[in-house]
Amino acid sequence: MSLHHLLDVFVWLMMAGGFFFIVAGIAGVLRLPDFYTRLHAQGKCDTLGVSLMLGGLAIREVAHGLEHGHDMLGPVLTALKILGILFFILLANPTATHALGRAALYSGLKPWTAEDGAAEDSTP
Amino acid sequence: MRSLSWIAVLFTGVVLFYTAPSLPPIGDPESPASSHVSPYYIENSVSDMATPNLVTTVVTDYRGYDTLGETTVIMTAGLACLLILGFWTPMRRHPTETDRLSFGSPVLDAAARLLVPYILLFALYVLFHGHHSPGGGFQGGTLLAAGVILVRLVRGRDCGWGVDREQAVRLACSGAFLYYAVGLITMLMGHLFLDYSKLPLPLTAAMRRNMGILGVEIGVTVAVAGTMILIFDCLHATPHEDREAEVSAERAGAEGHT
Amino acid sequence: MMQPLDTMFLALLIVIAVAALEAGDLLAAVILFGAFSFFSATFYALVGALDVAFTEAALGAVIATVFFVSAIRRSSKAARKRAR
Repeated sequence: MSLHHLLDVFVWLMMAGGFFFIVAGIAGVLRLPDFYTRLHAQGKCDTLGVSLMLGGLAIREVAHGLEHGHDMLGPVLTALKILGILFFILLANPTATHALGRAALYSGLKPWTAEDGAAEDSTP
Repeated sequence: MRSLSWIAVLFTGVVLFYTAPSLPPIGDPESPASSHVSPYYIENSVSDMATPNLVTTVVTDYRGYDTLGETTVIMTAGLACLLILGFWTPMRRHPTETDRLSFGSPVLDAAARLLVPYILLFALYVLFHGHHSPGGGFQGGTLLAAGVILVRLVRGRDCGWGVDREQAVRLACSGAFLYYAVGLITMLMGHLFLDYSKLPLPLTAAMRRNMGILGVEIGVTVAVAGTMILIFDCLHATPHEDREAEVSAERAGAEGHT
Repeated sequence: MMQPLDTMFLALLIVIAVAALEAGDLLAAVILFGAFSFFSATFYALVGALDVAFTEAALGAVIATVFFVSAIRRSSKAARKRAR
């Protein structure tokens, strides 16, 4: 049980977590009633899921380098580049969600309320 | 009209599926693409101009005339956009208060402030590292323009470090001119047009060609960035008569929700 | 020489193109066109044409989408209805 095995366990956990959150986000987009709630599901779950997946990939790169005893410069550089993408996604994804929600609100889209749900339930 | 588009899409799709399987595997030495002129580029690119990225050498040196034409076409497209669309939206030298109204919010503003410097830095990296990695003039210019356009979208259409429509035209034309100028310098030295190895620089012949590629790439970058900003400005500007109504509508919407 | 991944991307490209054709809204069609550009960029990267993929991602997926949205924003309501 060396270091790269331990890292591989982390990688699997992070990839599985990322997969779970992305699937949850897609389920939210398909199931939730209106634009704002869908945006809410998509923005948060996608950001977290993609961040976990990218973090897992970065660790995987380092673990792969350790396992094969390569020169570590290349894997670490690749991992840093993946972390750069992670930083960009963490910054851009919530901002895009905010911009979309704001644009929808300003163009006059009314948020879904409990009354709408009751009206939908009473009219089959 | 729609059935026509359906036919076009399905026909292209069938052609795509029909031809893609007959593409040779990547790196196949027997494929037609790598059995005629490509071996010359592959063998001589590094020794001729000290540039490992073969795409850059083929695009800007071996086939430099094509790229010269492309740059001119892009510049001409930008000028045509200005001719057609600029007619209805006269240029304003002094922006009024209403022009500063933007889509931005504090969140968008902070995010753009954090992102734009890195976008511009990455554009320059793509330009100057184009000799060694994928990238070059066209991609770098597009990224530069994307940074400026992001600032415009977030902070109002007259923001963007003074690169207004007039400056954008100047950028586009001077970028294309820089490409021609490199060729003219070699002609003035008494050699062929765009023969970078005869540039008057105190370097080896390979490094002179390397520098010639760099100069040409900078020209392409400036031309593409200027053209993209110009087209965006022409498309994004609103005709005068619509402007007041739009501003009052936006104000009413903003007050209604805050 | 056809990889399963290549086939998947080509099929996806056709599906997105048809979806863009059938979109009832010009804005939706533009966004689908951006998705088309992005997937074709991924396909180019898959077959090894990295420079082309980079250009397609920067120009086709980002700048072209911004241009189209600006043009739709400028066009009148009547023209938008006619284009449907």
